[in-house]
Amino acid sequence: MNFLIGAFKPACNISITFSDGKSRKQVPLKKENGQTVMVPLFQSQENIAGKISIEPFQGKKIEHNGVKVELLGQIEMYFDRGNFYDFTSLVRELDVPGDIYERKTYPFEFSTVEMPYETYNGVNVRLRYVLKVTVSRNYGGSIVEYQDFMVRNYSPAPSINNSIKMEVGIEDCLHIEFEYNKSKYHLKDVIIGKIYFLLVRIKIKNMDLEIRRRESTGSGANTHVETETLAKFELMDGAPVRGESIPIRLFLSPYELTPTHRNINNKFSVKYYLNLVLVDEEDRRYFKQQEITIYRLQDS
Amino acid sequence: MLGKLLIQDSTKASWNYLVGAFKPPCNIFISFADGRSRKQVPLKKENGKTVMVALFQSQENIVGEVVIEPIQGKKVEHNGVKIELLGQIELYFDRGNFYDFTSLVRELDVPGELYERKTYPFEFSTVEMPYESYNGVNVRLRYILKVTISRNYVSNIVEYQDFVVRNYTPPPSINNSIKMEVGIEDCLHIEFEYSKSKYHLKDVIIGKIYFLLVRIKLKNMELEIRRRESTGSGPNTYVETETLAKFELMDGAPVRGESIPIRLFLSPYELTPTYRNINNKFCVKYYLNLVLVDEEDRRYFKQQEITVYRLLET
Repeated sequence: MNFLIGAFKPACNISITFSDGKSRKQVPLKKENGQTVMVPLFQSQENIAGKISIEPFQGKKIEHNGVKVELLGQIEMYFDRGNFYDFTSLVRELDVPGDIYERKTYPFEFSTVEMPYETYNGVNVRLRYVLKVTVSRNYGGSIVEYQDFMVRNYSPAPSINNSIKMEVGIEDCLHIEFEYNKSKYHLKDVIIGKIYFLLVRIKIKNMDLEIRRRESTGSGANTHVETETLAKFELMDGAPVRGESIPIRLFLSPYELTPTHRNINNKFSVKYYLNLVLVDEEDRRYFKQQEITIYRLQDS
Repeated sequence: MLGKLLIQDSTKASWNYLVGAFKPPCNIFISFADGRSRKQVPLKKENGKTVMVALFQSQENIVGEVVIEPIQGKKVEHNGVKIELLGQIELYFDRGNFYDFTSLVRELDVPGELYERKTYPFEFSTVEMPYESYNGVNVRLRYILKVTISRNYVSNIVEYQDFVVRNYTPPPSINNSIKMEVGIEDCLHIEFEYSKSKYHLKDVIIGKIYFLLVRIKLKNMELEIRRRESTGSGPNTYVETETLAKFELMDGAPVRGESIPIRLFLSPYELTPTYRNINNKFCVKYYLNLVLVDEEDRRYFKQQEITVYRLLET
């Protein structure tokens, strides 16, 4: 039995290392199996360089038809799981057909790689970047090794960032005016604002502010929309009176947000909304949803 | 007679209809944003025709517009429009099978219908194009933009736009001369010297041939530039050698102590840079071949590799 198991094991170990692996920032990445691993962090236009070591097991030789490394940017839709859509594919041939008898190291480099989209793990979609090493073989099946890495892209603070101000309500029943100080927030930002009650003729018992993520995948009739409530923040407990002003101060850093992704290669988009919810004494919910833009600011 | 004519006419009409049925229902135009100002260079197509295409270099932005124009009165139902930037190697012994070493995709439109002319902007930023465009004897390396309109029941509509990539190198910091003494013992001894071992495409080869010993009757001497294109690997390696230039250095018999100068301009010849191991698929090397011919037409030669590089034109 042990012999049989050994027969199906790959004939070598493949290890992929980045040349600046020790100094480069590592970030957690959740794998398909639920485990979290630390992977290196890159951004668009960086050089991705390193070494690939292929080490045959003691006493084994590897006959191969060539060794190559691919840098792949892939989108996987969960309703079409296992089918990866490659939006970036760069290849470097590392070795011509031959035999490997002992540990062999191949350097590789992909220069100023354009990685326009960020790594994203969502409910119905995943965008990932991998290095894929393939040792091509005729009969034994190719030996493949993957190395995930993470991409995050940074934006400067927007030059125009208008506040959001709106008057909403039910005629002759409830009129409120809300204001958020900005429409665009970075991931570590603070939402500052206020709710002003212009008219209150219904018995309100509390008020919440929610942060919602809306992930939309596919297109046309095949659009799947998934909405998650990421944060629920109680603004008020008890009945307000006319003329009352409720302040808002909501820190974004505790929540696992991503930047807003608009139309990523026509495959998916991720948008964020602030949802103001008022609940009356009969548990009826009155809400107003407002889209905000989230961006990643370079950590200083 | 009239009946015959009528039959001919209707046949012609149905034939025209058939031809029209297989024509794509739209025209696709691909243009570069800086197309008017960007340098154009000639590119030889498979059909032997030469067309002028845009010239880029690695790390440039490739930006432009795709225009899709349905033919009058037709609508185009599609499953999406995409543009791909492809870097491909085609080996001629495996013709039609393209090996993509670079593939970047931008989705331009979601499934829908096109009723009228529609323009899609596209951008590929700082694209790494590590290898130059190359058209050889047994291999071709090309870069293309490929626009695909995906359709369900009928074939996809595809349009290609070639462009050329050239990469520039600074002058090498070390560029030793080539100096060598060769010959046949007690028969012919010569010493040759070339001023450099690395030359740019518009360079001049300067050197000299010095006859140390001449005991055979030589009638002439020439210098050849040879290109050696090697494709495949291992037992499947194909090597193709072309003589690109033949330059007569001497006509008549030399005497001992004579020195023959060399001054060979490279610009008239269609050279490319030296390519060493392009993605493990092919390489292109250049050699200077010094040939001496005796009166019995025996040829004595010495081949010496040189490196050719592309210098940025100022």
